[in-house]
Amino acid sequence: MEHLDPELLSLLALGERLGTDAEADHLLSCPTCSETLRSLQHAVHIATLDPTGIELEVPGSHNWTAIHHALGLSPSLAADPLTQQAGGDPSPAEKQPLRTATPGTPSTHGNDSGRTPVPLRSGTKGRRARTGPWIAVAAGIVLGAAAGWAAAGALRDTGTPAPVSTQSVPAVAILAQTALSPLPAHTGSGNAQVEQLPDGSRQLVVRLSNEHIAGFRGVWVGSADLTKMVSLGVLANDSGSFAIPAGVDLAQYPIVDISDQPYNGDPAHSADSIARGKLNPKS
Amino acid sequence: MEAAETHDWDPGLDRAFAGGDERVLAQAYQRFGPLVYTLALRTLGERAAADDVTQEVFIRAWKSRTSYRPDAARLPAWLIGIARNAISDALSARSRQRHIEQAALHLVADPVPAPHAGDVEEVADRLTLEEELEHLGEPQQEIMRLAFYEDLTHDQISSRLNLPLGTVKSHIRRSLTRLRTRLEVEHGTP
Repeated sequence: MEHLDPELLSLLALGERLGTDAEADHLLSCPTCSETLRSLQHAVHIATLDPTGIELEVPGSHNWTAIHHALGLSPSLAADPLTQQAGGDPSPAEKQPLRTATPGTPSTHGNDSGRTPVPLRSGTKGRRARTGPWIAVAAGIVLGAAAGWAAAGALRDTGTPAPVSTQSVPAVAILAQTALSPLPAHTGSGNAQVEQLPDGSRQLVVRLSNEHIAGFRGVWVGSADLTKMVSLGVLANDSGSFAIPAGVDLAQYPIVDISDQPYNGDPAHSADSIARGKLNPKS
Repeated sequence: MEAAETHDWDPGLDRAFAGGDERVLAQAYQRFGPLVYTLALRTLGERAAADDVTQEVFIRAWKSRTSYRPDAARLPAWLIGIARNAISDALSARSRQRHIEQAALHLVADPVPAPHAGDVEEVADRLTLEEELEHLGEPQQEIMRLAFYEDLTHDQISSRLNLPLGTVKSHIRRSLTRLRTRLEVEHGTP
C-alpha cells in the first residue's frame, strides 16, 4: 500500500478519528508513517502543552539586584519582581500558567528562595478527552493509534485514494542541524543543516531571516570555544548552500556562526556575530 | 481558559520593551526569569553558574533592546534564544578553563541533561512554537488556534470559517509540518 496521505496524518496527530481499516493496518506496519505521525503528535503536544505541575526554580533575589545595578534601572524597580508578587494580586497563578508562584513562605528572601522548587500552577490539565489516547502514548504510538481507531468505532472512508507520500526516501542525508539564534544586538533567526549529497560531499544549508546590517553576512563553522573559525562563504539571500571542505571535521567545528562583515577587505571574522547555533548530529 | 495561555504575553509588551520601558524588563524577569534560571541550572548543574547566566540574559536583552524588532520576534522566544546562547557560552568558558580539549568537546557536544530537564525544555519549546504560530499568517493562525485550543475538528473549522474542507486540511498539514520542522532544527533530532 502507498504511504498515508500527509493530510490524514496531520488530522490524526490532532486527535481526529479518521481513516479506513486498510489505512490503520498500514500505519501499524509502516515505520515511515508511524514516525511521521509521532513527530507531528510531538509538535501538537508541545503547542498545546499545559505547564501545570512542571516545576521551575526561582532565581535568588541577588540576581535581580545584580541586573538592576548593572543596568542602572529606576530605584522604583529595586525590589525583586519575583518576591514582590507575594502581596497584591491574589490570583496571578491561576491566570498565568508560566508565572511562577512565590515560594511558600512569603517572608522568604534572597538565596533561599532559589532552593525551593515551585509548581507553576494548580488547575485542570489537558485537551479534550478525544485526544487523550493519541497524545498520551507517544512511545507506543502505533499501538495507540490502532486502539483508538477501534475503540472510537468511528471508522469511515476518507473517500480519497491516498496519494504517493511526500515522505519517501530523501536524496540527501541530513547529518546534523541546528537552530540559529540571534545574538544580543541582532534579530535574525533561522536554521542550518549539514547535508550529505549522493556523491558523499557535504554542504551546509543556511536559512536566516533578513535584517538590516552595515556589512555582508559571512558564514562560518567554528570550534566550540570559537577560537578556530573556518569561512564557508557569503550569505546573500534568506538562504544559501555552502560546500564544506572534506578536511573539516565537524566534531571539531560544531558551531555555525553568521557574522556581519564590514566592507574593509579584511578576511578575518569581524567578531560581530549575527546569529549562532551548535550543530546536533542526527543519530 | 486555555487559549489565554498562548496569548498571555501581550505583543504590546514586546513593543514597550523595545521602546525602553523598564517596567517591562521587570515583568519579563518575573515571567521568564525562573524558566531561564531552571534551564541554565539543569544544563550547567551549578547554582552559581545558573545565576550568572540568568543575570547575563536579562542584561544582554536590555542592552540590545534598540535592535530588538518586535515584528520579527516575540520577546519570550527571543529571550529563550539568548538564554540558549548564554548557556552554550558558559559551557565553552568552562571548557576553556579546564584546558582539557577532548573533555570539553564532549561536554559541549553532548551535555548530559539532569533528570526532568525535558519538562523544562518543553516549556521553553512551547514559547518557541508560539512565535512560529504567530508567523503563520491568516487564516492559518486562526485555523490552528481553533484546532489546538478550541478542539474543533477540520469539519467544524471549515464551517466556522466558511472555508473549503480541502483548504483547511491543507493549511493544517502545512502548519503542523512547519511546527515540527522548527522543533527539529531547535534540537537537531526529530
